[in-house]
Amino acid sequence: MRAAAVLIVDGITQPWNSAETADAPSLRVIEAEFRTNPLSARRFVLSDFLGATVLQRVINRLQICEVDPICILGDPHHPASVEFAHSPVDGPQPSFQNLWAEAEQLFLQFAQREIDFVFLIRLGTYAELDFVDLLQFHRENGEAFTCVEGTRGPVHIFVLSLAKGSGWADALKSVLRREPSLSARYKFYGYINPLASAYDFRRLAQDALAGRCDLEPVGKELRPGIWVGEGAAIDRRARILAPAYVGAHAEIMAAALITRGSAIEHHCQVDCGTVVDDSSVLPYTYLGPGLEVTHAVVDGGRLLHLARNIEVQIADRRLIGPTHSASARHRTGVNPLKSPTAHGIRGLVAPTECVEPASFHKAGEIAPSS
Amino acid sequence: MQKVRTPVLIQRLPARFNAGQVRAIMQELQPFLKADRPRVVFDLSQVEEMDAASVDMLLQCMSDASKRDGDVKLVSPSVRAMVILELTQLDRLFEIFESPEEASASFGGPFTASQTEDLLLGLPSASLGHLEAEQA
Repeated sequence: MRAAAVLIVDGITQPWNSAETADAPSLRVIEAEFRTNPLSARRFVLSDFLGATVLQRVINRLQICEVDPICILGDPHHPASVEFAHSPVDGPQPSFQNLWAEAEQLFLQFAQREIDFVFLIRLGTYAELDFVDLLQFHRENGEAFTCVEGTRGPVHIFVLSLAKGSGWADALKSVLRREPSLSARYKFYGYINPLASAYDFRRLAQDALAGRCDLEPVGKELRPGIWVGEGAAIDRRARILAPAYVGAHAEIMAAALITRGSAIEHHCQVDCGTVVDDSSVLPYTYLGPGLEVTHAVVDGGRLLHLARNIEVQIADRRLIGPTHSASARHRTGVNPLKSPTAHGIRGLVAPTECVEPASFHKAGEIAPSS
Repeated sequence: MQKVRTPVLIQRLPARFNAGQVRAIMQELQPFLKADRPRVVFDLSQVEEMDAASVDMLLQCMSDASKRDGDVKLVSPSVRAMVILELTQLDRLFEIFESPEEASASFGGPFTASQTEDLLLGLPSASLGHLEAEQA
């Protein structure tokens, strides 16, 4: 029994197929365009989240369940300006014309390769599904396709049978039109986050850091509830209070305070004395000195204040803005979820040394919440 | 001696309250801030954009006013302005009021007529905004 997966991600303009590229997907985001999107309209499934995107985490979860191949398609009608590219980039790039045509072609290829079932997932809802159990349910039920239903209604996750006479073409059309009427319902009572807004994004971070879902931060847990990514630099006079996350190569300067489920993603810089409280700071963001960032999602010069439900763009790097290295930012083909778990965490005091967590901070400076 | 409240300068700040505007506003404010016991109210109701220069300007005004036993207060900041004030923690430094009248009334004790007269002499003309001098 073989199963494949097709992930539909709004805003992606070029597909990716794990059968064509052996490595983890090199999902290259055109950052300059990406950052122009208001945070209130952002597709957070593509945003780095505790070290890896939700998309990467879903792919990882499928691969653990031995789902292969996994393909990514985009919805060309969605206005999001995010582009995904193949890795390596020298091969022919399939132009994406029509979601249905692309999906149908993929399904025909799957049928030729004697694949029995296809998971069709429209991201971004994040659901901690047991895909093996879902497949088992679908097989036992015998319907053309099965729709996953959470406690608050249907989730855009389906399983379709590819056997002859299963009517998969009609089922696929129905699913793509978002009108899946005649299907079996797989009741799912596990963790689901619709990731429809920045509020959901923050809630997912809080749930992950508090252990309310299975999603694990990429990094090492230095103290209970405090994760730090590879190469992060935290000044000895900074304070990190659990639960909190400091991503790879992030810099936390003296007297800064990171607290209440805050996530500082990779390559961020938090300057002296700044407090980050119940907030997510997206990659390559600089927070100036003496600020207080509370209940917010920050990306470059954009700050979405969740409590006030307003987005502010600050075009002054003395307050907030992209880091100096942001212009050269790019993603490599390495999936952070599969990278070696080296944790060369360095202190600003001795940047060339890897400091052991025990001596990294004085007692109480990195402290789990009591 | 007749007692009057000190004059209060109420300055409405522009929607784009940034480095480009700060210099002009400061030039106008300087004579007032150099007077004795300057009392300034900044109306931020129209402000949609602020940057580090505007934050610095507010701090500078507060510093200058404090040195001369005066004070600076803020009035009805827009939601965007309030986000910046909170971000920079200025909301803890400045008293914030809902209306210019409330802000004016919040300034403390009465001053003598002679003090008020001296203060008025140092003021530039109408470009500074609305100037209030009420008799107690």
